[in-house]
Amino acid sequence: MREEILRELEKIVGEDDVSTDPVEIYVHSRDSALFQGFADVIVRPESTEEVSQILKLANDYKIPVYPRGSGTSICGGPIPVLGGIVLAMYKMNRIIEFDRENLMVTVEPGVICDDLNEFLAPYGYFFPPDPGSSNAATIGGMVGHNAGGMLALKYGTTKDWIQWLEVVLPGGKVIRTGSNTLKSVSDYDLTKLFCASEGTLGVVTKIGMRVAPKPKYYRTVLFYFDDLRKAGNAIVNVRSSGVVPAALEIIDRISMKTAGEYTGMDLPEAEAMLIVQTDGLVEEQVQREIEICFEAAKKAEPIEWMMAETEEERNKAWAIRKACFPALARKAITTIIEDMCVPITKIPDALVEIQKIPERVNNLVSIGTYGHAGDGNLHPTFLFDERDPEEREAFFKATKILYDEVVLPRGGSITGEHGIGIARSKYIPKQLGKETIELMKGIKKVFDPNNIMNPMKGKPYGDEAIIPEI
Amino acid sequence: MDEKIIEELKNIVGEEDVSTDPLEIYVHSRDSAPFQGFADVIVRPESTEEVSQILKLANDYKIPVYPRGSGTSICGGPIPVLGGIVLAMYKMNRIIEFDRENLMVTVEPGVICDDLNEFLAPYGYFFPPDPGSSNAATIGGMVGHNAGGMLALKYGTTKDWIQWLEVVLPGGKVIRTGSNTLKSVSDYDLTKLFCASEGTLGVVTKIGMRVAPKPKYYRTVLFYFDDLRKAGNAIVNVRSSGVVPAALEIIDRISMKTAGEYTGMDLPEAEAMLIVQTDGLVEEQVQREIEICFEAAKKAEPIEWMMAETEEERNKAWAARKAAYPALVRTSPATTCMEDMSVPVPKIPDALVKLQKIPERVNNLVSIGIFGHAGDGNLHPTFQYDEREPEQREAFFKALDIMYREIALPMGGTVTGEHGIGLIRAKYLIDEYGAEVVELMKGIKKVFDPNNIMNPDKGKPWGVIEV
Amino acid sequence: MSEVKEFKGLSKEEIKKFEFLSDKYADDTFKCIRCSYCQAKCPSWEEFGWVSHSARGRIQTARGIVEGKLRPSEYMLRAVFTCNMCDYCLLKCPAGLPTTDIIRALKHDLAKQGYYVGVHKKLVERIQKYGNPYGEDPAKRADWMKEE
Repeated sequence: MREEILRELEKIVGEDDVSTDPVEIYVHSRDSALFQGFADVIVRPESTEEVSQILKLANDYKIPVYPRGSGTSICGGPIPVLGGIVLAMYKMNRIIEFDRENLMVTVEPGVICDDLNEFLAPYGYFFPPDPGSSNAATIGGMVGHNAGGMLALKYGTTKDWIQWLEVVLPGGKVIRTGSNTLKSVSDYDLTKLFCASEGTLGVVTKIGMRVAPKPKYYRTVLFYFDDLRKAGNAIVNVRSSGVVPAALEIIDRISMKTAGEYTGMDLPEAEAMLIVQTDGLVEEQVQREIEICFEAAKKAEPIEWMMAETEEERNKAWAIRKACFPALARKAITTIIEDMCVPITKIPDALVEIQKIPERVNNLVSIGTYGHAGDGNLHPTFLFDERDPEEREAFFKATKILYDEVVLPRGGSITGEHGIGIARSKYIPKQLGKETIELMKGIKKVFDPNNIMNPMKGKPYGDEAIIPEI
Repeated sequence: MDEKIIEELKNIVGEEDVSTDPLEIYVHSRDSAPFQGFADVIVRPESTEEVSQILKLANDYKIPVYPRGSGTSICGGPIPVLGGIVLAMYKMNRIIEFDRENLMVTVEPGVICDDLNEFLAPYGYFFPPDPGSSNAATIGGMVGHNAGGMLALKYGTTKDWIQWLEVVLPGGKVIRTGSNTLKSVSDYDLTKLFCASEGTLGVVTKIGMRVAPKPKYYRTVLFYFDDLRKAGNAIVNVRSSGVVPAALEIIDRISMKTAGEYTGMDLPEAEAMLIVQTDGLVEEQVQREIEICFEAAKKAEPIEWMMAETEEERNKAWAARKAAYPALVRTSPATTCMEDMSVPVPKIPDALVKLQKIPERVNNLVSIGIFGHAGDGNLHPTFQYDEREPEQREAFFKALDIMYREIALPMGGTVTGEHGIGLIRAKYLIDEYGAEVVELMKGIKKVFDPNNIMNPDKGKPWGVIEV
Repeated sequence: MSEVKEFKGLSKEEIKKFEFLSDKYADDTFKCIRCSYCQAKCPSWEEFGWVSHSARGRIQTARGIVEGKLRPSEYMLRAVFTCNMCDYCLLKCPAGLPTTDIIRALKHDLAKQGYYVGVHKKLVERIQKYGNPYGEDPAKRADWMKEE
């Protein structure tokens, strides 16, 4: 990168907030996916005005810009595949306003999800989207990927809570989408267009969102099934019971076994475990709802169950689900969480097919699956050693089987909440069709005619995306 | 319009489904707003394939196309301002599939909202968005305008329930947005982009949506306040109580009075009436929630209240709210125009006070009754006047300018909460968003509709229009 | 691609000199899933605000050395040695990595090859001269007791 551009960047944000040191470039070269790419410079803006000046500069010189939060994404979204500027949003981490009468909070994109909830807790409110990475994930990243989580079934995903956005466009213009009001239909829904746009349209610099009253009571029940199909029936039964549980999670045999060994808990032999939780502000309701869920699931013939009455029992019920990822991660060099969504009726079928994948790649990868059964979102987690070229190849073959043969033929989506990024770029055309990809490219061009914003990623470029070597 | 094109349209949909009769053209020249425009032809397609062929033809000859449902819109959205084809979606009114295990239903755009709910009721489900016009409004129109309703506070608006859309684009290509799954982030959110696009991007031909379990229990409480500010405090109190009520409605003095006279009910002298309703599947919860709302609202010192215990009492509680609009229509000299504005909830009392002063500012040539969805700040000031009187007509448009530019927008509000931009709110779009956002919207429109045939020259996304 | 792509790290022989790191913790640096759990409240991250100066950054730096993409530099020394070994990252790591041990190994291997910072030299001098890193007279060591 030309020295004069670096000087200009230093002029905009100050010398302390620009780094070209190889160590800094290296530690910004990956997210949680397998891919790597090197930027020319890392810049830490502190205000909308600074972001605006940077995007004007970048647009003038046609330099790629990659907005980045904590780098917890698992799709390769923020990786600088074409060099250029990593826009590290760390310093824009202020909670600007909490309007208690309007129940809306305004934050900068660098605020960490758990920090926001810690701030809201004393007032009795919370921001419901709860990605597994909530203790590190930034609100900006959650908007960019439209993060979900265990509570999505009842509370929706990130975009369901976002009311308005302040966005800097390439060229430096600042716009505001949406409205401070709870409802507005005056614009095309640009707010939701920016949600899940993975930093390809502009840089979000302020976020206005609703918050929800924090539940006071929880009830949890846990089921073991000796047959995936029975577990599938239980999921359908619970969802048709009329109650929308706060969480409805599934764990398959392999994850259960691994998590059981890791936690030292003695779990029954089973094909699947389901956890159902209800929550709310009225104890009788939460209790009644869990009873309805319990009766519904029981019809599907679980071999064992446990109704967690006390907080201690509830923690025990959740221990296995929460141990799934750490337990799997300890077993291998490389752990990659995949993300797929199927209609909930297809969950048992999908699980059976996923369990057959390792055989098809000579058992060079293993897979443990768990996920948000209530909305059909499963996270098959692949274990292998990325340093071994054969295993790496087997991993890519396995994910191709997963998306092309398991997910898409069942009317599923290749990503429920993690995003396209680099990892899933080549599967989009099959899901969406060429015509839709052309429309998305057209939309991108409206916002970013010089293609400087997180360029050549799967969204919207599909299989034309650049996939860097690993 | 060229005879040749009429012939081609007849070839596509059949002779029976094409009309150029002046009567048919006339009855398709208005929606519920005070504007008019005449199409060249009304066409009733029956399938995606037919819509696709029509849009290919229209695109080739650059003929404007206006998708239309029941014409219940109140913004001038479907009015054929530039002539061309009105695409009347009446015949595409099939409920295609109800997947009871996935809790999703697939419908064609011409299905009427209440018909869908009648279909779902025996299964114990419902489609929550409930515009006041639900007994006539089509699902396609609800998607196009992103209809809300009284339940929006708890259940959200139309787009919150739409999972995927089949859309025919100008040129005839058919795409499918979104996913059958409950969550998907593979595309830019095209589904929600089409919701509230007011027919300017393409023609929706199939709609995949979630349904919700129908509540079994309801509780309703009604409050009267002698001061708008106290009513405002009650709204804020209820919303901060932790309970999200199913409905939280407000009616101002003038609407109350009109409705009281119309229904013959003896209502107390008050500045505002609030109705709070909770619903759910668990009776204890619904009861407990209404108690919480009651305690919260009572702190704001209502002068009177009524807790409706029985269904009869509940119907009585709702009677005044439900009569608000019909009563205003019946007492109007000729024209009744329901407007749509939203403000942040704490600004409601302020907004009401200012709205009530508008008639004075236009020499009392219009009068205004106000009611609306207080829980989400969405008010429907309803104007009475006689559109045949040029002076009154002018006063009405001046009143709109005051309402949107001097009341709604300076309070951080929006010019439309759930009715859409169409023609009537076109000129306020730039006031709300600035030229840059309008340019982006035009850019997006061009991506979908490069020849500008889809509902062209409407407020969304063009901003300024002279009618 | 980046023009700073001269990520010519160390040669295989040079990497071997990072004994502690390559013998014991090479696998662990790859096991890091880069979830950032360790970064969010890492004290030096909160102080400096650069990823290199956080637990996540340091584990990645260790990997960069092991996989031959980074070489020691003054900046790296500052990034690594500003870790105060508080074990916050150890508590947070969902993959159960011995994060502090990895950083300790990295510090050890760097220092052993002469990559240390000015303050280290001062500390060593003080230890040699006074027998403690504070540069205090050893004779005064128990002074605090007399004050009772």
